[in-house]
Amino acid sequence: MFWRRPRLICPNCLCEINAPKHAAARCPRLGCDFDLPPLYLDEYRQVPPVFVQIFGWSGTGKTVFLYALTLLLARMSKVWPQYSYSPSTTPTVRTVREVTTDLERGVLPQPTPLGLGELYIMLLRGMERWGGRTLITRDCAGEYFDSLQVPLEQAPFLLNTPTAFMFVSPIDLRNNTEGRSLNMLMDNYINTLLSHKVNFNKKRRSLVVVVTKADIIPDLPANLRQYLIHDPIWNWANTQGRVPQMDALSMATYLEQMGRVSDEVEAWLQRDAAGQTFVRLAKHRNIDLRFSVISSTGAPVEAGNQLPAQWEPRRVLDPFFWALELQSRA
Amino acid sequence: MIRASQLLFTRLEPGYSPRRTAGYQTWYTSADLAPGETKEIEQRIQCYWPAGPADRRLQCFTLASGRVVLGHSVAVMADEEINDRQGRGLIFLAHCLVLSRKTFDECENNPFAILDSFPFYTSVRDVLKAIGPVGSEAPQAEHVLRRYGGSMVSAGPWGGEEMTKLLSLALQARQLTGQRRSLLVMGSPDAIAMTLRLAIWLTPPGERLYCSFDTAVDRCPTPQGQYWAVGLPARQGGGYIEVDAEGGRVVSSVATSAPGHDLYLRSLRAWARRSQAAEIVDRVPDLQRMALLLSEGGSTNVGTIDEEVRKEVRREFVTLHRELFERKFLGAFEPVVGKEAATQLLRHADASPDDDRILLEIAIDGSAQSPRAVELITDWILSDVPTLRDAEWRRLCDLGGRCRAWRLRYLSAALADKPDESTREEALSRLTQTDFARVATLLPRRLAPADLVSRQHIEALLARIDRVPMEGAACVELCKALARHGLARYLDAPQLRRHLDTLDSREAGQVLKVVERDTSVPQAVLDVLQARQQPGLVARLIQWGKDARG
Repeated sequence: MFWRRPRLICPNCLCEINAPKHAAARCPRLGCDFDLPPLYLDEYRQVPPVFVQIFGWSGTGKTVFLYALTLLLARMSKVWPQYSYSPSTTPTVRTVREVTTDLERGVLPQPTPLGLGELYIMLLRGMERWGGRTLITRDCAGEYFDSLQVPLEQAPFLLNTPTAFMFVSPIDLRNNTEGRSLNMLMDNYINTLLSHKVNFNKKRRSLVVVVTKADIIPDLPANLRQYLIHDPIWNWANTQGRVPQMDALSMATYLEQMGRVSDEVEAWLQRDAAGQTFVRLAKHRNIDLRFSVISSTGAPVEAGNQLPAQWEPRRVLDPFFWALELQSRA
Repeated sequence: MIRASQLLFTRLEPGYSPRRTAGYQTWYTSADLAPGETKEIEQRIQCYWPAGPADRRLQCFTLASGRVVLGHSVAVMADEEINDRQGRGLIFLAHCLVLSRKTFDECENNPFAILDSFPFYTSVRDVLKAIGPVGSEAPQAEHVLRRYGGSMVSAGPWGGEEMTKLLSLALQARQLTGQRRSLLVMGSPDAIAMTLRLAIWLTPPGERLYCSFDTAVDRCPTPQGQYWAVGLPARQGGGYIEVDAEGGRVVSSVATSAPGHDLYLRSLRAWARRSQAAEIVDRVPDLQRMALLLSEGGSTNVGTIDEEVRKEVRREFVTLHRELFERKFLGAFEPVVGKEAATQLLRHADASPDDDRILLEIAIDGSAQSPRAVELITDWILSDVPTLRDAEWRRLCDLGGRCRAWRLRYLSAALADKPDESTREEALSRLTQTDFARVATLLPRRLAPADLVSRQHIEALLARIDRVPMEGAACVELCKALARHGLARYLDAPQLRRHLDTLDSREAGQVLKVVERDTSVPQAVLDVLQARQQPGLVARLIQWGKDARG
């Protein structure tokens, strides 16, 4: 029997490579040369990667979501008894820091410029239900999703990862002067994958549709609004002192509720033609859809990019939970 | 005046967007920017995360088309109507100038000559006001270029030794980017800009084109090798060559040699050990000029030395590399005059008050055939009157002929043990009055008056021999030469007559033999010669005859 060196996936180029022999290593693939994070290498087997592609037009809240998600992930040790987290790259550390400072100042992040976004790599250990996973994603500018051909160099996970977060902001779609409609985003997604010869029938794709800025959607159904506002995880994570711990049963219950909410949101989005087309396009391509409603800030943004109070994100973990769930089943 | 195409890039709302979409995009371009160029520029400038409202990013890079882009990006507060209806605070406005290589060359390939002086836009409303509604073309920018001197460059915390390391990295720019390596310049935006400005200033203009940079790549993954230097606030992994802009030092160990620029680097290094950084910055252009002249060579370059290089800097430079210059000097002259003569010539050059200039010029020109080299040889001959072998005189004579240096040709022909009379006379006839006067200073040590007889210079010669002693034999030869050139009538000149009066009988007889049938010779001269030939009884008889007739 020959000993085979363990293999791992480079988080930058997504190629499978031999696990390096020492901690300070770089991806050997020509053109990549990425500094492999030591933590990522060291805990690869125990905390395997979950790649998520972020997809959505400009101003739909992608960056704010990432900040809000980071905020929650930094506090989940209140809720999961075995949980710990480690940002694994400098950009991830910076995000954690900015979340803290911007949170205190009540300031939103600036618009994401174009260009390949930095790698966000967060090791998450001891998550109830899923154990350890390394969340790997890149923020990117929404301008790239304006065309039928999304440049893959800006959305590098799009082809090779089964799960994407598709951000939609119904409130912005109502006010848009560019003639955009919801189904166009799905068209761009499907067209990009087809142009790179993705076979939707061979391996099923999953899309988590994240309805953002839900707190300011005036006609959001009451039950969804209630769901949004009453986020137990945020309440617990934000509370001083002891809080209820989420065990396997409570996680299962939460996921079940997420499932019902997903159906509700899907039904609500299909109240107009664009929404119907959106859903049908996905089903026609065998794309597994899940829906979430979130508010990354918890309150409307006022003039001068300021929040009236600190951030109070609502249900921002839901899309992430969907991604974990879908990739665990795959 | 320089002209450049323009490109402006920022975040726009659909109402102000040429594409009618929201987001970061190109806003205005000049008509002559090709789509490929625009795309290439966009890819370089599109990622910038200003940390604060006063932030600024500077870029310099070359397009595939060969044109050079100077990028200036500033943080601006998003205008809700124009830029971002969600009012998300800071965005950036990038204003790029696109120059032809020729234009960039007019700035000596120094991007800071423009980045530090051009009035880049810093407000989106100013842009709208200046260029017009969306869809308008950005006009060609025109800018009066002021002289960019050492006073515009600060050495900051950089000392001499570290400056030379920084320079060696700049000189290796092409090689480094080819190896996909970049400098990481760490510090505040001002410190980064100061360091790059200094590095570019230290770099000879011909090499500056390879020193591309982006002063702010924080949060923008930038492949190594895309720029020669990138700026970041702090250290970041990735195997960069690290430069501490705040501390003024090159952190990484680097090779401090740069093939092709060793002389310049060594000079700077030597100066760095004993001069203040500000002094080095001040002297750099002179040093670069001399290094360039030396590398390009050619006699046409030599003439610019005095205008372009300060005397004291030139002197220091030559003194610093004395051995090299002397080696080059000997290398130029040995094939022409031989080893020993070349050494003597070098000693002669060393004794000159302008020795540094001479050595520099010979080194630049690289040959013994330049006007300066020929002049030097001629001066040497005239002042030192060297003893050379005939073969060496012949080589010099040939050199004089090739270079049409008639003084040299004359002297070489005349001073050989076996003079080449026809060449001598031909060269003599071509001398100017000034040249003749100079050559005639060798009377009577090394040249005889007879060697200087020519129709063109007879008057000058006579004036000369009036002031120098002349032996009888020399006088005889002079008379013979005059007769040969049809100038026998000048035997009656007062300057010559007094010498004739001192001839002995044999000498007088020799002259008489040559001139007695020449009808241009005055009778008085013949009488003198006859009298000198037969002194005493004959003279008395001649006189008795004259008296009887009279």
